[in-house]
Amino acid sequence: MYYTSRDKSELVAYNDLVGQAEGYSGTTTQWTTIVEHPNGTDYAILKHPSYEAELTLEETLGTEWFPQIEL
Amino acid sequence: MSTIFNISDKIKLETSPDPFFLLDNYSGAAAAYSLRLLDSTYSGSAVRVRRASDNAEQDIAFANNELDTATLETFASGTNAFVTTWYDQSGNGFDITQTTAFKQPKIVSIGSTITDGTKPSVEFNNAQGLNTTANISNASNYYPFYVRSVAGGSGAYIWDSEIGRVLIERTNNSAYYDQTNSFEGSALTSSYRLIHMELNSTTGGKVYENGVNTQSGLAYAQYPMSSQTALGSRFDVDASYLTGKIQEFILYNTDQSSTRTGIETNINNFYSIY
Repeated sequence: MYYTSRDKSELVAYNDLVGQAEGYSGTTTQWTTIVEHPNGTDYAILKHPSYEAELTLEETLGTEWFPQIEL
Repeated sequence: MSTIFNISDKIKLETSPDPFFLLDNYSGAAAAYSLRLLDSTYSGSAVRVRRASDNAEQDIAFANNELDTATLETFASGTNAFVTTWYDQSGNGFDITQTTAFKQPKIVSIGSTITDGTKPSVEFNNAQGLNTTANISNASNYYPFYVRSVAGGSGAYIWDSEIGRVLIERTNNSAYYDQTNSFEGSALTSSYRLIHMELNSTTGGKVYENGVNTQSGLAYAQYPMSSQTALGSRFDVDASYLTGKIQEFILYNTDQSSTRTGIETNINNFYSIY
């Protein structure tokens, strides 16, 4: 499941909070990376199974989020 | 009265390299990643892993020249463990890493080491990859040898380099890509295979699967491997993810056509693929 937002900073904050809660150390520095919709205004982040946020939750992201890339 | 001859400078004893160690016998790899010990003089670890239970990390070395799965599974403590770094055994220092937890490939599942065939393997699940920003090679011919199985990942890449854009195996439809000739060849067999390619700008590209030449006469133009290079995905680990397993990836940028069968035999003697 993914959290979506038009405010990228909300998702950055979620990623940071998960990272702090998980206590990553060594090589690992963050939970995941933020997905940017090709429209340039929508963003999404994979929900960590252990952490909730008051953000819009989507079951999955449609294929429009991941345009076919030739290379 | 006896005469003592000083013959120490007349005799030179030479020992043959142990046939087990691939890089002792076939040196000069540009990069070499494996879950077995490839070079008898390599003293580093095989991989660095993160366990899911508390996100602690630990280097895992070798035991009896193979991945120390006892230490690995003890560390994983009944949970999953993921590869954060796959160390380069070539001596060139091109370790490949992944700092994002979700993008780290798995090596232990619920306490048990993941395998392919009979040996430990790194599992990629359509969102993972390991990469480096080091410049691995100037424009060259390339001779990769690798052991992998492909379970999915539409258009996934086994190995991809950003600058020069040399791409080794796009799983659904091509053997490789270079910037001049675009995609060349056809899809390789997806099941567990030892793959070798000769990417030679003079003699053309060739593909070998389990020691058998399956494609030849392909075009290849020399390019560097630099900026970002990844195993198991696109160079930036942001697309074209592999669903499958990789046990070993060894890249030469010098001609190995005369040593190909020896290298393939060494690999197959260990993995018993065919």
